[in-house]
Amino acid sequence: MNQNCSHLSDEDLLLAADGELSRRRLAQIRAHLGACWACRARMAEIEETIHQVVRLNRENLDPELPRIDGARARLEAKLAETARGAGPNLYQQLTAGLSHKGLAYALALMILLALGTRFLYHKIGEHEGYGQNRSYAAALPNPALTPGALQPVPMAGMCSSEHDQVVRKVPEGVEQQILREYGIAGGRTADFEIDHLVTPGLGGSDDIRNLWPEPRYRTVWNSYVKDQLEDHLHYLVCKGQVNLTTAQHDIANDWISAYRKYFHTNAPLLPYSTSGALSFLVKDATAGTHAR
Amino acid sequence: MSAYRTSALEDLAFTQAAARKQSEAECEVIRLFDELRDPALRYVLSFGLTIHDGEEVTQEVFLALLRHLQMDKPRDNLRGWIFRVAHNLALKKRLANERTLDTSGPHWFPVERQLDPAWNPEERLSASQKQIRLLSIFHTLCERDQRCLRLRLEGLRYREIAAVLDMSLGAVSNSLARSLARMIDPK
Repeated sequence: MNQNCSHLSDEDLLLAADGELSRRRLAQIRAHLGACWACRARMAEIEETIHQVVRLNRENLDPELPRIDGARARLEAKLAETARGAGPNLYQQLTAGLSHKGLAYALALMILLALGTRFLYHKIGEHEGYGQNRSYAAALPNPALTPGALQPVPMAGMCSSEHDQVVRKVPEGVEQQILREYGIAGGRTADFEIDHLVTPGLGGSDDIRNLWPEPRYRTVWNSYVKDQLEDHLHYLVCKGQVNLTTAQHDIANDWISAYRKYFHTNAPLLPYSTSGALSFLVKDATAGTHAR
Repeated sequence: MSAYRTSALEDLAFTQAAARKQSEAECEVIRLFDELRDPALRYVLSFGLTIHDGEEVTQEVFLALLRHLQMDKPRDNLRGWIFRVAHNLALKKRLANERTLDTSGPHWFPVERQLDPAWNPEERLSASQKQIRLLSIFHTLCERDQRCLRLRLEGLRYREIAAVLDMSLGAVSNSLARSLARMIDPK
């Protein structure tokens, strides 16, 4: 690096080369370069090194990259699949052609059905129990073991960066403790992601009461679907469209209902399943667990 | 016009608008895929993923982009957004692979590379030595410096790199300058 204080620093030279300086500062640097051979020589060294690194990057790896044609065709097929699934939603289909009175009856029926389904779901859950040695965990956590836990996070800090930047690895000991508590210590850990119930991006803490083994793909409502909700809720909270406390409550109380509420849909937006876009995860027979 | 017909027309207009929006979002995704698939794939491969895993991660990135566009989320820095999601998904995949000890992915900057056949033996020897030297220095950089360099190599601006890696602009420029200085003047 240029140590002499009368010369430009490497950082200044690089910023100038990359067009990252203000017009005024750039003019100063150009004037200096016009007068200083040493700095021009240093600039040439930097440019030459960049040139070499770029060559290495492209020439070594590019021949190994599969052609884009096949990849684009696969993506287009998945997009088409998504579009087919995105047709008129359930609400639109059910309400097409109904009068206001009919609509009211239909809505009441839907609410009753939803309540009934939820009641049955909980009854089944109670019957099966969480303490038994089951090969997979429920899509919803056991509220007695995982009620959710928060940490004080200033709103500004929470919204300063994208929520999905946070990929946290849960310590091995904590993972094992959680799996034991859920009675699946001997199960296939590849099937689960130790996930935060209230995501850190919404003020959730790393406390064990906020972590549970969430199915990766064996259920329709899996960890990848919950990732969508976490991302969306974070966006809505930071936009001021949803109160943080409401978001925390909704995701902790029943994240599937929260998904339906905030995405206005009864089913996950994309087909995340063993045949879905994340099928590559399925082949990891003993993949580990981590939380986001 | 009856209430029923008005409602039916509104439904039709709504459906048509939704279909148009979906079609526009898909076109945007394909356009960005054509532009950024190779850079994004090179970047995710740098996490040590196999070509197969890298391709799948890249596909998932662009499917996530469709959701992003469908939900009318910000479009002001889509390139940075794509690399940030690629970074996170690749990191997740690498974490999963670490459990299975599946680290069979290609090494970025392999020592054996295809030299320009037009070069004479002296030029080939010199180029090869330079590469080996650069490679050895590159691998001594900390992970964050390597990531900055890789993202800059893929054409990201400092602001975009800062967003992907959650760093300040100053930290990005400092990291890049430090890495290049080490490559020029190895200590």
